[in-house]
Amino acid sequence: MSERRSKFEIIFDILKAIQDKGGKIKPTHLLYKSNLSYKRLQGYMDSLMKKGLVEKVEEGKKTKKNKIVLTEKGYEFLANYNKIREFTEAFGL
Amino acid sequence: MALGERIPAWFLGIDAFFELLSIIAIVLLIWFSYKSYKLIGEKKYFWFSAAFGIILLAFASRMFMHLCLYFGWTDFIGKVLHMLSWSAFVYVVFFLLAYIILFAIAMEIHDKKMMIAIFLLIALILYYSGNYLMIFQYIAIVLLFIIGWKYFEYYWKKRNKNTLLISTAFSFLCLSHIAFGLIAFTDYLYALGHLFQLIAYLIFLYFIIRVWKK
Repeated sequence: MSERRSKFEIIFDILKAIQDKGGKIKPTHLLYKSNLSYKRLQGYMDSLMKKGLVEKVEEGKKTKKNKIVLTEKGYEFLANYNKIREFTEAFGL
Repeated sequence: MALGERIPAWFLGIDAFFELLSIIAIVLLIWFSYKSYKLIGEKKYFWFSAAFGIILLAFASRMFMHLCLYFGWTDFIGKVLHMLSWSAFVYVVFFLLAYIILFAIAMEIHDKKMMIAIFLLIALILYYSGNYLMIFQYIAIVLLFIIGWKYFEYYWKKRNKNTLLISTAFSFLCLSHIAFGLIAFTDYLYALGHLFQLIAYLIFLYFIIRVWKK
């Protein structure tokens, strides 16, 4: 029942930022969009990858730049976000 | 409630029907919170669904007992009477465990060891009390009153209509245990207790439908 941006909302903001970029985003862009420190974002990324909401892919044959990609489960999370948020807020979870 | 309690004959069958309706709301609450747990992966959603899962088990065993009485399966009951008397205690322990988990969630208590200690202490008190059904009602009243009050405070702060629904549902659950606790005065309180319980779970059902429409 806290006031600050909850972990749940931060997850939503991260996933939404990826979705807004067509489901694929550069880590540096995500850092800017998520409004988190590098260390905190790294922690969230590890957690989101473990949960299967996002995955890291390498793009470009020569440069091999990393990109963060939204998974099907990630899209499902976004589709159900409003419902889960209402549920979470009502029970103060 | 369990065998040996003062169940008015006219209410037999109706209680099982009320419990069936409540089970629908409970299943939806479990499904929704478990789905949230699978998507977010936070333990609190798991504990929330576990609490209602335990309530579901308690309800299912109680509904089974009531159906046995309604259909007059007394031979069957006779054979398993010993088991049923135990199942009444198990049912009480299930409810107690579920309420303690919900209490910990509402009060934001994260110390699992402390909650386990409280649960074991209460379970032991119930076991050696000589009248565990009544003692359980009084403990449930205290726990649900605090949960209901906590959600009301939360509503007052946030003005979130859904939280008001949750607070009202827990208050009705508290009222149902008050009615069950006073059953010695009149059998009608048994029916009233079930009615309050049904209202509480119908409010949960309405809440889930509201959330699902979002």
